[in-house]
Amino acid sequence: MPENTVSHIPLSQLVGSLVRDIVDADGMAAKATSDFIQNVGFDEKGELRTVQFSYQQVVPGVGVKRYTVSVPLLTLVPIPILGIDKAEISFTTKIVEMSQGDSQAPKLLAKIAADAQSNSDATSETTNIKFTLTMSRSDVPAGITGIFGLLSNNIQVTGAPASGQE
Amino acid sequence: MLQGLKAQSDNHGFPCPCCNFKIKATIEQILTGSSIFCAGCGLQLDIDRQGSAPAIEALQTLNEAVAQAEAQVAKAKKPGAR
Repeated sequence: MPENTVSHIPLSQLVGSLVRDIVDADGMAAKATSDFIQNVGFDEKGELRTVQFSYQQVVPGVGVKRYTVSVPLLTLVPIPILGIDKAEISFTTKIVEMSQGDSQAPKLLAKIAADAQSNSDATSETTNIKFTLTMSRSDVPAGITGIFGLLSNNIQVTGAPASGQE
Repeated sequence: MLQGLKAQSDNHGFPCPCCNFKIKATIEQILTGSSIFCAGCGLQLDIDRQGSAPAIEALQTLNEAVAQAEAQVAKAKKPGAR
């Protein structure tokens, strides 16, 4: 067993550490989405990568005119919005000690129990508590919606000399 | 290919310059240089491959990375794979 391993920790830290790990993992997933946007949508200089399309349109009194439309690549590629949609952790803790701290509420010291069986032994000095932690998240982050709005503003249409009428 | 990526977001696409209908071009269409048609007004948009070279190159890299990832996922899903 490593030297810095403790046999039991405050219950709040035990639960909190599990929640923090899920949030950390969610942050790593969000970073992957951010990296995708950065690497696919922008070049090494930070310039927006665009796809150029051309099309022809009949302009009354002028004839057929050719236009070019510049579209940000990120509007064409589905952005993978990664994240932990829902996390559910079930575990059982064994309360091994109850300490009276400065605050009025007693501090529970616990460790992960081997099984989820309830403790029915009235003579035991320990108590098992079964936890089910459920976390969920909202769907599309507002930041991503904002990016789509900014990208839409970067679609540019420019006219070219009329086809066959120069 | 890219099925997983495609399923991630329905927000992509750009407004047609003529009728404003949302045009959704596929990655394959851009990579192959196929013409894209607006489902709203039928406008034909041709990809300027030369002007879009940096974007097409980035898409190619993405396509290859996704293909590699999908191959690894398929390999991991095979019975007996660890």
